[in-house]
Amino acid sequence: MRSGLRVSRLFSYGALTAILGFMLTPVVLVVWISFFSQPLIAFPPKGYSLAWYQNILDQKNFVHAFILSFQVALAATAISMIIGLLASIGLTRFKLPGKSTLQNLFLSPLVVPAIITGMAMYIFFMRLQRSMGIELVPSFMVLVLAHVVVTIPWTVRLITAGLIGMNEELEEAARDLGASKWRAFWRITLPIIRPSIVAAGIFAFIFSFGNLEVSLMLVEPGETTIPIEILNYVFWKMDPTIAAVATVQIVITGILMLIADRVVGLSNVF
Amino acid sequence: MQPLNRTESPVRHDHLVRMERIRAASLVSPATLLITVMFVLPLLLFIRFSFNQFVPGEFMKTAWTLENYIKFLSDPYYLKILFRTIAIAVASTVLALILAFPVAHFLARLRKRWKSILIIIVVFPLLLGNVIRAMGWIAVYSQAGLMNQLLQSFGAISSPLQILQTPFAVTVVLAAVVMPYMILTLQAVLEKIQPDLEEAARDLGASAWQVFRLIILPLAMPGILAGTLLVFVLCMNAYATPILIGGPKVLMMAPALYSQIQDVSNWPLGGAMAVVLIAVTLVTAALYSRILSRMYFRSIEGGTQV
Repeated sequence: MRSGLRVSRLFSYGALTAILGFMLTPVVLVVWISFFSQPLIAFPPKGYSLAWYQNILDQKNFVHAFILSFQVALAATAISMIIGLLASIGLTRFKLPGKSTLQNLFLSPLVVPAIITGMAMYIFFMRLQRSMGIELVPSFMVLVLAHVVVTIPWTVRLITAGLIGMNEELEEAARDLGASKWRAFWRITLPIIRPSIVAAGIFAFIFSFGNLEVSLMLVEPGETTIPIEILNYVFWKMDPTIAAVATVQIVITGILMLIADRVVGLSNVF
Repeated sequence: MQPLNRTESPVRHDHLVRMERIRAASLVSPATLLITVMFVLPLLLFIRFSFNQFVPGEFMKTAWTLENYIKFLSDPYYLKILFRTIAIAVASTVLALILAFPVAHFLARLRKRWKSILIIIVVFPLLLGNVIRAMGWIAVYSQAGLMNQLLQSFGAISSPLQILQTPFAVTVVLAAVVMPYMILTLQAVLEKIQPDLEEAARDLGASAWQVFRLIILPLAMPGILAGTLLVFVLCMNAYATPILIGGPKVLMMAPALYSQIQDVSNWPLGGAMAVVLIAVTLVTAALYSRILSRMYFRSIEGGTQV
């Protein structure tokens, strides 16, 4: 009986490792390949080298794409956090008719296929551009606002959860002691929900930085974001150079994720 | 929700309610405005375009016609893409469910510390985006990739297999791509099932399979329903994976739709395809969820009668 149990436990651990391996294989492989010394991928590699990382800096398109992705993600995150926080306060701390409709509206970008969202935006701003005479697609502003749409479901969801989860009596106590509504919010509520806000910002940044489908139609051919640049490259060939580019993104995402986990705990977010 | 200022006199109440509403409205207005202008209006315009007339060479004419829908639904080329998309999405969903269940069950029984580490491992690929993961799968499946080299070194095959650009590869990779969502959804439901319940059944002589089929599976049904629905929708809409792993040979709806707009500039047909994709996804999801929840509730009723 005992040994039977042990065997089945061993078996389930084995299956588990295999399944997790199945999920992680591509990521591990990309990082591994980025250190291969030969440009043509072959397993096992002939040797290892860091040359490809140096190579990235020489390839202006990747450097530009990283910079653009960074700028867009930063701007989109800032806007998304501010309007997401305002909306979350409106949704949780006030009586508002049509509240659930609004809540669904803020989450709706998650439901529509991202590729359709991107194309609809392109068509819409193409039209607007023709009647207004200013260049909108491609433009930095539209790209940033499009990324705000992508990230708003996450900021609203996380900050709303933080506001609902906190002990509201603390806010009331402050008000009973004579603090104004704004002062109570600023001094009591905001510090308490800070972890949710930080997590919202980090996830907004990650999802903006990694976004492919919505950006696809909204960028200039020479001025693309990093996921698009990687896609265009991988479409033709897969080599250690592109693996090194991807590894840089993997490291950035990994660091941000670990910070988010420290602040709120990932199990509370997903 | 808290009541409004409890201490105010009823005379001022109306005024306060109005003030409160104005304040609330101004708080939610930036987000509402953004979603409306950047998301709702563009979608409505795109849907409107699907009823316009496409005139090759001179773009499109404003009209109210169903010809784009008829063109899509009567052309075997497009129908094949639609059915392939549905078939691959269903297969990937089933595969993801089978692979995710043991992980989710294990995760649900872990102590907090280990659980958060495992959740990091599960979530991480999700945050990287689909392009990087597809890239890794190309390294696994390409002619000179890991899989072919392993098979060749074991002598299982003499020349490399063509694995990329097959429906099989797209199905497997899509399943891997959506698995984190499935694991997280299942885990949330499974962790609510008391471990005592399983132990009690085991003590009473139930086999592991009986425990799984008669206790875990029925209780996990809401999670299975939610997880498969979410993952099915994601597979139907997938873009990066089919385009990189499937290529032109395994064309799916999202890439086909993109090329209608980008390469052919046929906005009306693109719009019709978008509407069809969303409609088919929603209808399939609704039918499936009805059938499954009916089966589920029947099995619960049957259970209580025994």
